[in-house]
Amino acid sequence: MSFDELSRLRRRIRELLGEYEPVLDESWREVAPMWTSDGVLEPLFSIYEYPDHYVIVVDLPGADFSTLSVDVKGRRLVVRCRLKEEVVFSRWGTIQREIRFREYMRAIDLPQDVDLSKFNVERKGTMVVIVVGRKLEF
Amino acid sequence: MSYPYYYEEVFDGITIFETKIVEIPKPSYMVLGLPDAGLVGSISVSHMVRTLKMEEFGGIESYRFFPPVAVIHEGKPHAPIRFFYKDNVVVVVPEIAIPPQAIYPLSLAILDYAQKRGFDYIISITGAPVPNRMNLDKPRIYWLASNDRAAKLVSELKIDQFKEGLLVGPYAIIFKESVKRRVSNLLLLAETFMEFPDPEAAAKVLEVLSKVIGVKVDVAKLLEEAELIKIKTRELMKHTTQSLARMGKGYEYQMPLLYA
Repeated sequence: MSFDELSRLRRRIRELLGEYEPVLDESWREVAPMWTSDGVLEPLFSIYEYPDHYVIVVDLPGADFSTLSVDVKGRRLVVRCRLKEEVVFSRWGTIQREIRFREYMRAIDLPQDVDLSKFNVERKGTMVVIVVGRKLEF
Repeated sequence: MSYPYYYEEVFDGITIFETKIVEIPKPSYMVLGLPDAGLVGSISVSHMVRTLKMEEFGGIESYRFFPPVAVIHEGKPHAPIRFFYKDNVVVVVPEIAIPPQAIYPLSLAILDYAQKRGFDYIISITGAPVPNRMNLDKPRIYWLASNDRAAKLVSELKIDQFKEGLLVGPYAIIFKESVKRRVSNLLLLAETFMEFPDPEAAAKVLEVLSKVIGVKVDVAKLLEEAELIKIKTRELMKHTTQSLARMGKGYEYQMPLLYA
């Protein structure tokens, strides 16, 4: 097999894996817990699509919003916020022992056509509303 | 769930059972809190169980349609959907999201059971998802009734009728069948989020429900604990949202073609 043929084959394999990645990711998300045993909660979020922008809403009940951080790394949005006070459950789910939650964290992959030059974060009640621009030509 | 069952009946793959002999005085109300938009019904009925100190007496199980779940409480198994009662009020409390394939058989089984049990009214508590819920301080409550008898329950209350729109999910089936079978079904719909738990909407609907059934349900604690309830119900909300998406819940944003 020539080098070019090998390169084409590698590219095709990558494309195929790329097509299935969201499906695999979604399947995993359906069964994955929304917490970690070291005290991190995953918040609920939603992405709403508009012609010229996206709105990402993240619900952070019980959060201390003075500690909120919203960072973008590449196309990955990372939302972190500490809770106002630790939330303690004496017997939590499958682990059957006390667990203390201290903070929220969630990484959200943004769509490919986001325009990060337009970026705004606003708080509404327990929710954080993040508005991100959308490229009109992509 | 404690054995033996005093009543058990299978309705097309859905098993409904009672574990103790319970007399429900008239007028009897069966309040449904199946998980739906904003978990409005589920949060409402859970709060009723706690506040009114209601007693468990049965539930719904399905080895065909439900995920293989055993709800364990104090070391004993309970059904994925549980029945509680106090005086003339029975509430139906879910522990799981309803899988789309269970919608039809479950809705019809609940209705069959309610008719056999002779409940005077079925009250469905549900959320009406609105895109601007975040900007609404006080979500509005709407009603929909299967017949005049059910409509009379809200005739003295100042709430609007749900006149145009689409309903999707078990409440839609229960409502349509109730009209057909002349069962008195009242729906109380609270404006809510589609995909976030909404204890504030549950509190608003409970204020109306208190007047409808004549039983005071104090919502102060529900509002006080709203943030904690939102934390606790995130996973049920996530699974419910996945289930709602598969059953076409998005149709509720659509206006009926003829009346748009």
